Amino acid sequence: METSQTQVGNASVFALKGRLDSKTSEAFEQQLLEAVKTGPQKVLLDFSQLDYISSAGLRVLLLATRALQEKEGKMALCGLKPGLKNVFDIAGFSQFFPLYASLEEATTQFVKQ
Amino acid sequence: MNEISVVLKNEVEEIERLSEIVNEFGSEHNLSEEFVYAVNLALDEILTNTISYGYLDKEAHEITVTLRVQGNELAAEVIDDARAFDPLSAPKADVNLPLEQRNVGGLGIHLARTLMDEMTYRREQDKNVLIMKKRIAS
Repeated sequence: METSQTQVGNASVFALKGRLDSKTSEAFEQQLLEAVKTGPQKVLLDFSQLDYISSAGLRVLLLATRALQEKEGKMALCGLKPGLKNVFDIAGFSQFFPLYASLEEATTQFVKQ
Repeated sequence: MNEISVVLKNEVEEIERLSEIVNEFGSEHNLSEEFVYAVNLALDEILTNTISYGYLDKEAHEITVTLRVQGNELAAEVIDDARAFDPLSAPKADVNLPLEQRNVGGLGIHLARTLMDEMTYRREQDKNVLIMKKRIAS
């Protein structure tokens, strides 16, 4: 999996590409939790190029959003492909994060708010 | 070809290799992207569990995965020599709990069970034999 991290306004934006699974989740966990600890209070994950997520990836999102809540921060996701959205729904995760259709929508409705 | 078998090593890196085989099998049988995702995820969750927790030694082990299309159904069979584990007996994850109380333990198996229509397990000759089935919408 490839990740790129940028700062947009008052948010850290991570773009993920490929597969977030048991092989790749550990490295991403470290990267994301570090950003949560030291970065701004808003984190946006751009999933538009993410093809696959498993429960190992969901676990990282859960840990990160809890850590963010402790500092009164917030995490949102955008661009989920239908297969991923389905996984979020059956895992009961769709209620945990605002989900935006696109990066543009997330930028205007989440990042710039 | 209505059936394909692949032998994996007990390493999580093997799951991605398997997914490529599943994707190819899926397109040969005109299975939808969503269907193939479900099969991949169910296999991933079961295999990740087995590879991470199933082996008490540090030796190399073989896991055989077979995909089969029978009528309007796909069957995915996983046979391994890990310690006995029946995913059907695992405690159910409560996916309705709020964020603060959520525990991700058991989530993988919950996903596999939800995505597949049927799951059967048996222990046979010191091996775990798990068969997961999913109906193909016509």
